[in-house]
Amino acid sequence: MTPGFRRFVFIVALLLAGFASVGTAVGQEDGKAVYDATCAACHQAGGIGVPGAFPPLADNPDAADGPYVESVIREGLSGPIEAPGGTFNGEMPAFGQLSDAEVAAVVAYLATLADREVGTTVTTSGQPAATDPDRGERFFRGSTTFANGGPACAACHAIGDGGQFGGPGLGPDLTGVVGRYGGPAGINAVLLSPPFPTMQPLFSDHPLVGGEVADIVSYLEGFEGQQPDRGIDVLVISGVAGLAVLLMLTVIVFRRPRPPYIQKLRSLA
Amino acid sequence: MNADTLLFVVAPYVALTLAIVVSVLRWRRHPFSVSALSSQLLESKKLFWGTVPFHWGISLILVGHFLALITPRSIELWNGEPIRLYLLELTGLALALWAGFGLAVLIYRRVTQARIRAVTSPMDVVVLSVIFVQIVTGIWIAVGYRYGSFWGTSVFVPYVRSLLVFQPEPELVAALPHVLKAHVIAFWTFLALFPFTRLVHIVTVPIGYLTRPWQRVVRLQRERWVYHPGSPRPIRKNR
Repeated sequence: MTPGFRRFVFIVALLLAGFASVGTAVGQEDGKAVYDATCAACHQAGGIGVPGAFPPLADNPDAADGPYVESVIREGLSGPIEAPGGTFNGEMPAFGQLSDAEVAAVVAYLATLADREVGTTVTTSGQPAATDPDRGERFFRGSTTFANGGPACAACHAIGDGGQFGGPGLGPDLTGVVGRYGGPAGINAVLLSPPFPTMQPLFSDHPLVGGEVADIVSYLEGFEGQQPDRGIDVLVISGVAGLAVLLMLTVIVFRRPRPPYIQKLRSLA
Repeated sequence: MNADTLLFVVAPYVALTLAIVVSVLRWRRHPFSVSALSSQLLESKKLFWGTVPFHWGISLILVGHFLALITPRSIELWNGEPIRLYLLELTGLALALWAGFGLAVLIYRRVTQARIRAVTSPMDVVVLSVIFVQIVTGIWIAVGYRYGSFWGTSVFVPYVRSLLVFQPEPELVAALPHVLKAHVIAFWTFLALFPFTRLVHIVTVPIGYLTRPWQRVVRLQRERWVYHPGSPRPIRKNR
């Protein structure tokens, strides 16, 4: 896309957005609501983005390119990209759960953000000073519970060579996830307000707090560069062994010789 | 109304209402129909390998599900140590396989034995099918979406509780994989069918049956029942 064409798209989108904002104020509000619920976790409220991970959407002409934005929402986007503010290398999943109307509303909302000046760029690269990967592991496993009662990560996610005793969990494997989300700042933002439809209802009433997230991220960082390795399926093998034991019990406990009923009656008398 | 509302809000309330109201009506109007309709006298060898594993397995698994519903926190704390989580999941999977083995024998028996087929109603087939779906999806989840005992306390427990306090939150299950949804829908189907079928024997809470010797047919050697010509019913006749 040439800069000229991009500017043209930008202006057309601006005009459309202008009409949209005049004509459908309700639709624009919906767009903001969808944005806050789904996109703001990574791109932040008002579209200021996270340096190095998630590009800003305010003051970013690409964000006004309706068809482009729509395809990114539908299909996701990964790998390094150039945007105002430098290079960004986060991973965006496809948001198939959004309806056509919701996508259209978000596209319209983003068009209104695109020309908005970003007054201050928030830098989240400075991590809180004291992070503890060991405590992060305890949070991950669930041996230390979260302050707001959210579920432990290990309930759904495996990492490295441990976690699900050799099989798939409900959620994806988290080995190398920090890199996939463009570094600690990116995964930090995701954990503070998860954008995924499966995680959202679990954490909306039980949000993680900053210190917990920082500890978990420092634990996750320890697995960067590793490959997921689950080994043999311990659970299935021992489950089948358990079935064999139970079938033996069926014979031993229940197929015992029965004394004649008359004996029981006599013993009662 | 979208499909999620229908399946995860309307269906459970309809099923729960049917289960309670029809069970009470049946209990009051036709008390002697509240029965499991035993076919033990028609065939007993295969029945043993079906009914004992099935009833023990399914009862213990239901107790586990119920415990999670009433005290999810204790299960979460138990699961905080990987080895304890593993033992719980292993136990659940083994019990599910045991129940599934028993159900497979029961289905095989009902299909292949002519004497059992003769007393099989269409509803018996429906009941066996629904329980089959329930157990297969349960095993599938235990193997393919691991640690249901762990994430279930954050997904299914709040969902069922939200129904029980009449503030339903279908979004908790709406985004889950289809197998998990099928497990939920099969349970609401089970609940709705329950009062109309032999499943109704569950309301009698026949705990004693789990521990008594599984067969107790008493034959009185010294008397017999005979038909007299012209008599519609048999009469007892001492030898």
